[in-house]
Amino acid sequence: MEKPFIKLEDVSFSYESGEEGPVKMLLPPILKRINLEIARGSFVAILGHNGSGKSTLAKLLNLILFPTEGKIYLDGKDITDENMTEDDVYVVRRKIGMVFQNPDNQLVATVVEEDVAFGPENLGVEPAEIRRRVDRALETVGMSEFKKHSPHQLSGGQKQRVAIAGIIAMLPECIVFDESTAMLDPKGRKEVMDTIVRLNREKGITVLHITHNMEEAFRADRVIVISDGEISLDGTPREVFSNVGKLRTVGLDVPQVTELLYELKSMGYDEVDYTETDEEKCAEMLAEIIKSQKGR
Amino acid sequence: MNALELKDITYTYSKKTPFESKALDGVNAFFEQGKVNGLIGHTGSGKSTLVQMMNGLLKPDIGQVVLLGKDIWEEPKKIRQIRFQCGLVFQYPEYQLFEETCEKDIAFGPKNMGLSEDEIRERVRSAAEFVGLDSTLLKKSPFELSGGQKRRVALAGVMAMEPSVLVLDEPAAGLDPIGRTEIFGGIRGYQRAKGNTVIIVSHSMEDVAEYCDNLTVLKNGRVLLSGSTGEVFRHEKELVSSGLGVPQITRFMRLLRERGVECADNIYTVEEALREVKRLLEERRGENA
Ligand SMILES: Nc1ncnc2c1ncn2[C@@H]1O[C@H](COP(=O)(O)OP(=O)(O)OP(=O)(O)O)[C@@H](O)[C@H]1O
Ligand SMILES: Nc1ncnc2c1ncn2[C@@H]1O[C@H](COP(=O)(O)OP(=O)(O)OP(=O)(O)O)[C@@H](O)[C@H]1O
Ligand SMILES: [Mg+2]
Ligand SMILES: [Mg+2]
Repeated sequence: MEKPFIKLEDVSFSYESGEEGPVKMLLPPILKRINLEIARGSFVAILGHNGSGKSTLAKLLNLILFPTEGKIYLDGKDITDENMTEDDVYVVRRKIGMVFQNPDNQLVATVVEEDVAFGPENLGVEPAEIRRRVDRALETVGMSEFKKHSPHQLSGGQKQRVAIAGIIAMLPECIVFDESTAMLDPKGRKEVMDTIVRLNREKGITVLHITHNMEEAFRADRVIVISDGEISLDGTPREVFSNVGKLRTVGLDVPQVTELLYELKSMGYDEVDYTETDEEKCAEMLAEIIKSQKGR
Repeated sequence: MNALELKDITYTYSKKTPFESKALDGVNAFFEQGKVNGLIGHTGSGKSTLVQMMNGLLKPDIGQVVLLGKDIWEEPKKIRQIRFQCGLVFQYPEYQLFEETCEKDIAFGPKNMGLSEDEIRERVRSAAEFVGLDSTLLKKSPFELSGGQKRRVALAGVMAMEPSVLVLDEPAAGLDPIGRTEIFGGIRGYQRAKGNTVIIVSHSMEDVAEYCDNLTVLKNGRVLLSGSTGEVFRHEKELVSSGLGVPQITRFMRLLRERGVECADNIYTVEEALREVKRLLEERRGENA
């Protein structure tokens, strides 16, 4: 069997208390002995209540944070090894790109196209190739017409698209999207999701998608639910969303259609299969049930 | 009656530069007194720009902003006073918390209004209650709170001024489902208790369907549609072609209709859908009996 692309072994993490002093105090752990393997090319959605540790997990993968305990392997190599050099860290960040939660924190240049070029430039890509990548990335996110604009003059959702283009232009092997769709309108969300799915399916890029939107999680091939620093559910969208009760106890929800079907089932309509994830098929099923009531 | 009227508003950013962009183009929008009014529109449609017109942070190039029957630019020197009457909570307001404790942060607005100590204390207590902030949290520094808790502090800070019109730009973005329900519940509670007007900007069709009485839809700096939430959501095609949509459950009920189920075409929440489907199932049973 192929070795996992990313592997976490008993990873725990605590922030240090901010207080000044000779002894750094560790705060209570945010992540608790996480064990997780992610296959190359997979599309994983990560869900969890506010403060459950999702962004912390993402920052560990990108070596912005360092585990308090445990090990993280990337392509079989221990990236938490003490002997990691700066070059090694650089290689990790080149493989795993990250789009942060708030776009204001990651737009660096004064012109949109320069901002998108910033990443590839740092990777030492040739100018002609940079040009091509920047144009394609901006086209992918639908922001070509804004390429000469200043990022500060963009609306919230437009900034988010530029931030995504900046990561795409680096052609990483894996992209972590930390609530990258939170500020987009429904069409923008769908377009960005389509883009993410395409990057995954066509380019084989491994995707970790952190989101509060349950419908988006349906498009992943695996869903992981984090609750209070532990993995509480892990499986296909169908498997995970069939645990409606458990999802609710960890502060999450299910898509509206699933909720409707689940409630019907709880009311005794046993033919209802609320684990169906395709909207059209759900409609098909419910229409049949309603019509067949007649024949009883 | 309208608490706020925006009349024929036009606004252009970066005038006389190559990046000149007309963000609002002849917008007429009316927000009903005592209601929860939603403002929706695609990315870059002008929502945040419009919202900043409401309390005088931006001045329209052309047009009038009439708040409680009065043109807010009639006396430009008094424009700061307008912010007590029309309180604005920005997109991601938690980045603007700055006091040592949450209590002081929430008290900041009422203090600036020149209220007495007692009144300030009462305002802070009541605002914290609306947003569901525990009193033990009030003594903490905002920096020790989770994202959702910070959002509540920021919201309580504006509520504590008890503005006649409370404007919220994406109040639930980034919150988990429970956090969303609680924040919207708090906003509803405030609106009911005070009878004040609320304006909510949102990208979630599900949320506006659940919590707003009226909707105004922006498209490329113009008003595309406005009316009661039910009326606006009847225009699924127009909404979709403008980068928006209808709630998932509304779309689903349409799919049922397309499959020959005779269900109502004005369903916008799961609760309504459940009632309707139950009715259909029972009706069928009844026919057979
Ligand atoms: N720099 C920090 N110092 C101390 N505690 C922190 C720091 N950053 C985050 N925390 C705490 O760690 C916990 C997990 O935070 P994290 O940002 O990983 O959550 P999250 O799952 O991404 O939440 P959200 O959905 O709100 O983005 C929270 O309780 C948070 O308050
Ligand atoms: N400071 C600015 N300078 C120049 N143009 C701007 C500025 N702020 C916004 N714009 C432009 O004005 C238009 C409207 O922006 P606005 O922020 O009002 O949109 P929005 O509807 O709030 O979008 P979003 O949903 O993404 O927050 C956009 O095309 C944007 O690029
Ligand atoms: Mg986070
Ligand atoms: Mg905005």
